[in-house]
Amino acid sequence: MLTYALRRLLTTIPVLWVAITACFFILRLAPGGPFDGERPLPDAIRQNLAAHYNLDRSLVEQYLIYLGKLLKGDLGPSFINQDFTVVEQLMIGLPYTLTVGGTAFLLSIVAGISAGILGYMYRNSFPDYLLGIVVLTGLVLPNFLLAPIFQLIFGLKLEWLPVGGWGGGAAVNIVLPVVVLALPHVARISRLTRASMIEVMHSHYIRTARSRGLSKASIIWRHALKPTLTPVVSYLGPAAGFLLTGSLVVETIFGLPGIGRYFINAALNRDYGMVLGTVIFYMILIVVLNLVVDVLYAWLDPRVRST
Amino acid sequence: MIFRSSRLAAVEASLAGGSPPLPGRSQLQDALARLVRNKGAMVSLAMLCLLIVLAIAGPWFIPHNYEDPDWSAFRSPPSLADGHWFGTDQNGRDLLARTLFGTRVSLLVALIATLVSVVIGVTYGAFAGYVGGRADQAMMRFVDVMYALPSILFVILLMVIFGRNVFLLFAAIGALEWLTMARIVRGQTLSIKQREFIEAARAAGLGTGAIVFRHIVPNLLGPVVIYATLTIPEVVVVESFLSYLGFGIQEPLTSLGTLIAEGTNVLEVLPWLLWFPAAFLILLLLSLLFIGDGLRDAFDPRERG
Amino acid sequence: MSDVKRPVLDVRNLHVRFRTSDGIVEAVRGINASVGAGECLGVVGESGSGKSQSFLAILGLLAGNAEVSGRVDFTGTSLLDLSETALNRLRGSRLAMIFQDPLTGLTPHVSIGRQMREIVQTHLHHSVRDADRLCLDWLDKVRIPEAAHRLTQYPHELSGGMRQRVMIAMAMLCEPVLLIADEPTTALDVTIQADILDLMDDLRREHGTALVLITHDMGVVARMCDRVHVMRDGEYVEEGSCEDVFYRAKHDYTKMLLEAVPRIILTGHPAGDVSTGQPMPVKTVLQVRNLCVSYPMQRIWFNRRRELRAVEDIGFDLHAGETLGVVGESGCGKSTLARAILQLIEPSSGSVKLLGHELTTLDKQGLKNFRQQAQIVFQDPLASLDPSMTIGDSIQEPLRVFEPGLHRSVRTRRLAEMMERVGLSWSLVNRYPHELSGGQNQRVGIARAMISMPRLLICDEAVSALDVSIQAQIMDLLRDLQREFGLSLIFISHDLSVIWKLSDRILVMYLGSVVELASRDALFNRPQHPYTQQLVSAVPVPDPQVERKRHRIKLQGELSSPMDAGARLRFLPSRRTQLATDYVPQLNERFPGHFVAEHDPLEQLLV
Repeated sequence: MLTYALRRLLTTIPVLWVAITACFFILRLAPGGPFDGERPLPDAIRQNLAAHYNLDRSLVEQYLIYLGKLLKGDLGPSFINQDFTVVEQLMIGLPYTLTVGGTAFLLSIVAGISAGILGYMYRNSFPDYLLGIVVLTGLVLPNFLLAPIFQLIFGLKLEWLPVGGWGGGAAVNIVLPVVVLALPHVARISRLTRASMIEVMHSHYIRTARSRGLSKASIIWRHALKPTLTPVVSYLGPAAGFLLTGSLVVETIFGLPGIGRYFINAALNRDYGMVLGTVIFYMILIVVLNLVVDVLYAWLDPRVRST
Repeated sequence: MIFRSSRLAAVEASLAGGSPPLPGRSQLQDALARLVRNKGAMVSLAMLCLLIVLAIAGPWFIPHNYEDPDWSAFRSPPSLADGHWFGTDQNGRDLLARTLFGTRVSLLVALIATLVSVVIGVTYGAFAGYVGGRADQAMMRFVDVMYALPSILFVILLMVIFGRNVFLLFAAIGALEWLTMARIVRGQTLSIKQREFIEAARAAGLGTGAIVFRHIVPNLLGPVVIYATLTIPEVVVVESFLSYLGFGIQEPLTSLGTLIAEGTNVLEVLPWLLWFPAAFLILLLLSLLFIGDGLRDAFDPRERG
Repeated sequence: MSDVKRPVLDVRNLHVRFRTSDGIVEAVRGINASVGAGECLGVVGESGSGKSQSFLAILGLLAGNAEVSGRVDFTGTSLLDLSETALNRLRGSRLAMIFQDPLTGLTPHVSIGRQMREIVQTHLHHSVRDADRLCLDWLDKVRIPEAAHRLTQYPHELSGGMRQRVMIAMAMLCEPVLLIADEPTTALDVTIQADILDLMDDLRREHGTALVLITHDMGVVARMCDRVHVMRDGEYVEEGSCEDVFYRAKHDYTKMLLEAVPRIILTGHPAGDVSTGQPMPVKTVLQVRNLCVSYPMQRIWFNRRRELRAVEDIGFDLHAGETLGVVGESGCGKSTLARAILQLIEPSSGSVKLLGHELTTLDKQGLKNFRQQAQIVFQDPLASLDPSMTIGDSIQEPLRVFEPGLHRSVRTRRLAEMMERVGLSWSLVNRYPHELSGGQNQRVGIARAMISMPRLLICDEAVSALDVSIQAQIMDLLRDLQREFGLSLIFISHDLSVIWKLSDRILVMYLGSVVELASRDALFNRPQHPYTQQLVSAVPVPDPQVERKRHRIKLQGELSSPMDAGARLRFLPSRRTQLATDYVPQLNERFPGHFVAEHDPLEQLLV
C-alpha cells in the first residue's frame, strides 16, 4: 500500500513539474514582458521583481532559481499588493476557502453517495424521481446561476439566510455558499453512485451473495458498497478541482474573503505574480488531494494494490 | 435472446423460398432507431434545433440590434406592445436581440471548442490505444493528472497574459476539454484492438493503415459522437463561467454568460435581465443533456434502472 | 419418518416470463420436476433453453422484470410464497446454489474467510472462533491445501479450480438438503472438472444432499445423474432415468443431442498397426522445427528481467489433407503456437516452413503472399467479425487484398460460391454479424478464411463457443471442406472429444512443450505420458455404463503457472534438483511415429 502511494507520488511529480514550467514560460512569453502591464509599477516593486526573478540573468538561470525558491515554499511577490508576498496573501485567504470548500466537499461526498444509494433502493418510485429533479437541477444550473437564484429566494424573499459576507464564520453565513458549491457535485456523485450500484447489483457475486441468504442490508453494505464506490472515488480528484474553480464564483458572489476572490481580483488587475503563484498553489493542493484519492482507491480494490 | 431468435426464424423462413438479399441493419442504424424511439431525446433535439435556428436567423427578423440603444426605452420591462418582448437593459438595448446574439456566440464557442477537443482527444487517445505499452501508460498518466488539475485556471492565466481574445478562448477551452474524449477513445481502441477481428484482418494480409482506417476508425464512431455531444454542454458552461467572471467574451460582443453576469448585478431591480438569458442557457443545457443521454442509451442499451 | 419418499424439492407447472421492451418473453413454460434426498437430477439443454432461469426462479434470484408462477414445494414449504426475509432463512442454509464462473461469482474485495464466516454467522449464529473452525473444516473437506492461509486470501489470488472448491465449500457450510449446481465445471479444465465432479459426488453420498446439476454436457450427465430432464425452449422434452434417456431416448431432440456429441470410442488397440509398412508417400505442407515464443514480463522494480516461455521447442510436420489436433489445458500455449505459425506473433527462435518456404525471415510482401496460403478461424464467432461490416464485405476482404486486380463481378461470384459452400444463404449477404446466430457467424468466419483458397487452415477453438448441435454441423463442414480442397488442418481445442472426432494425429501440450505426439488411435488407446493418460481418463463419456466403470488417473499437483520453473518438471520430479530446474524433458520416439516426453513412471506420480 505504501509503495503504491509512493509510486503514485513519483508519477505525479513530473506532471506537476511540466505544469509549473509551462506556467513560468507562459508568463515570460507575455506580450511586452510581464512587467510592462497596463499600469506602471512602482519602483520598489520593480526592484523587488528584478531581484526575485533575477531579470539580468539568462532565462534558464531565472527558471532554475525560480524552481529553487518554489521548493522552499516561496511563490514570489505580488505585483500590486506591495505589503504582502503571494504566500502571505494565500495564507490569509486559505482558512475561508478551506472552510467553505472542505465543507462543500464533504457534503458532496456524503449527500451524493447517500442520495445515490437511496435512489437505487427506491428506484423508479417517488424518492428516486425527487432525486432525479435534484440531479437535473445540479446538472443544468451552473453555480453562477444557482447563487443569485438562491440569494433571491432564501436571502431576499424568505429572509432566512444572509445574502453574503463572512459574518465572523457564523454557520448561517456559509450555508448558501456551501450548498451552491456542493449541489452540482451532489448531483454528479449521486448519479454516478446510482448507476454504478445498478451495475454492481447485477453482477454475479451479488447473485451468489443473495443465494447464500444474506440480508439486503448486508449485501449492500458489505458486498456492493466498495465496488460501487470505485467510480465515485475516481471522480473525487477532478471534483476537488471543480470545487476550487467553483469557489472563484461563489466567493465573489457571496463576498467571502477567500483565495478565490483574491485570485479573481488579481486576474482582473493583471497581477501576474499573484495569478501565477495561486495557480501553482492550487495545483499542488489538487495533486496532494489526488494522491489521497488514489490511496483510497487502492483500499477499495485489492486488485489495484497488488499491481 | 428470444427476440433475436425470432428474427432469425424470420430469416430462416425466407431462406426456404428463394433468396433475394435481405437488407441488413448495422449497429449504427439500430442505435439511431432506438434514439428515434426515445421521446425525451427527440423533444430535446427539436428544442435544440429551434434554439439554433433562432440564434442564427432570429436577429435578422428582429427590428432591434444587439448593440444599438433604443433611446425611447431604457430599463423597460418585457412587453409585447412596445416591441421589446424581453425588455431592454440600462442602456436601452433590446434583450431579445442580445439574448439571441449571445446564444449564437455561446453555440459558436461550443462548436469550435468541441471540434478542437474532438480532434485532439481522438488523435491522442487513438495513438495511445493503438501503440499501447509504456507510451500508452505514460500518456494516460499525464491525462489522469491533467484531469485533476483545475484547468479553467489555465484558461484564466492565458486570458490574463495574452489578453481577452475570442479565438484564443475557443482554442484554450478546446485544448482543455479533450481529456475525457482521449480516455474514451483510448479505451475503445484498446478493446477493439484485442478483438479477434483485428487479428483476422492481419491474417488476411491487411497492413496497419488499412486496419486502422477500415476496422478501428468505423468502430470508434459511436462513442466519439456520444461524447462529443456530452462535451458541448460542458463547453457552454465553461464559456459562460469565464464570461461571467469577466475573462471570456467582452463588450461589445456578448454571450449568455456575459448577459447572466450583467443580469445578476441588477437582479433586484431589473430581474428580467437575468431570467431570459438564464432560461435560454438552461434550455440549451437541458436539451443537450437529454440528447447526450439518449445517444448513450441508444448505443449502449443496458438497463440503467 | 413416514415421508421418506417425499421429495426434497417438488416443482409443478413452473412458468417464468420476462417483461422486456420488446414485449413479454416466455423463458420457462410449465415444467415439473422433483428430486429426492441423496439423488442427483440432471437438467440438460443448449444455451437459451431456460434451464438456468428455471432454478434461479425457484431461489428467487431473477431480475426484477421476471414473473414467476407455479408451485414449488421445498420440504413442505412453498418457496414462491415466501417473503424475502423468510426465503433468506432458507437460502444458503437448507438450500444452496453454486454457479458457473467462480471468478465473477465471489466478491472480489472481501477475503475468502470473511465471505465464508458471514454465511455461518448469518445462519448458524456461531461465534467467530467456531465459525472459523467450521470454515477451515469445509475447506479441508473440499481438498484445499493450506486452508488456514486461504482464508486470508482474496478470490483473484486463487486458481479457477480452487475458486470453485471455495464456492462449493461456501454452499455446503450449513449442510443444505438441496444443492443446485449451475454449469459448475464449464469454465474449468477437464482434469479439474473431473476433480470437482468427484467432489460433488462424494458430498452427495456422505451428506445425503439432493443435487440438481444444470449442464450442457452429456458426458457430465452420464457420469453424475440418476435422473435426467432434457430441456428445450422452456420445456422439458424428455425425462427419465439416466439409462432411459441415454439408451432409449424417445424425443427426436434428445436423439439429435446424443448424436451430435462426439464420442471417443476406445478399442484398446492402437490402430494403424506399425507392421503394415510405410504409408503412401505424402507431401509435407508445414514443417515446424524448434519453435519458441517467449514474452518479456514486466519488471518489478529492479529484479532480473523474467521471461514467460509460452511455447518451447515445438516441432512437427503436417501433410497435405491431414488434420493435426493440438490439445492442452488453458494456458498451455496452444493459441500462441497457432499465432506463431501464422507469424501473427513473432517467434523468438525456430523455423516454420510452409510448402518448403521459410516464413520466419519473410519481408512484408512475402508475408502477404504467404497469408494467402494459411488462414485461421477463431473461437468467438461474433468477436472475430468486424461489427461495422456486412458479412459479405467481411468474407470478401481477403480477396481485395490478395487479388486486388479482380473484377467486381468475379469477386461477387466467388463470394456467392463460397457462401453457398459453407451453407450460408445469399440472402444474408448484406446482414451484419449481430443479426446472425453464433453458428452462422462461424460459417462466415470459415468462408472468410477459405475464400483465398489456403493450403493450411488453423482452427483455434473454432467450435468451443457453440452448442453441441451447431458444433457437430461446423465440424462436418470443416471435414467436407478439407476433403474437397485437400486442406491441411491444425485443430486446436481443449476438448478431447472434439479433437478425437477431427484429427488424424494429435499433439498434447503442457506448459508450452509437447508431451506426446502420436496418431489419434495410438494416443487414445495407448497413451504413454502420464499427463495424456490423466487427460484421456478425465474426459466424461456420454454413456452412463461406460462412464461409471471407468478408472480415473489422478496425478499430484494442479496445473501450475508457466512462470514457475519447477512446474515443467511436474512429470519428472526425479530431475527436480537445484541444478536442473531449467531442464526441459526430451521428446523420444517410443514407437514409430509416437513421440513421448521424458517422465517418471506413472506409479510415482499418482496421488
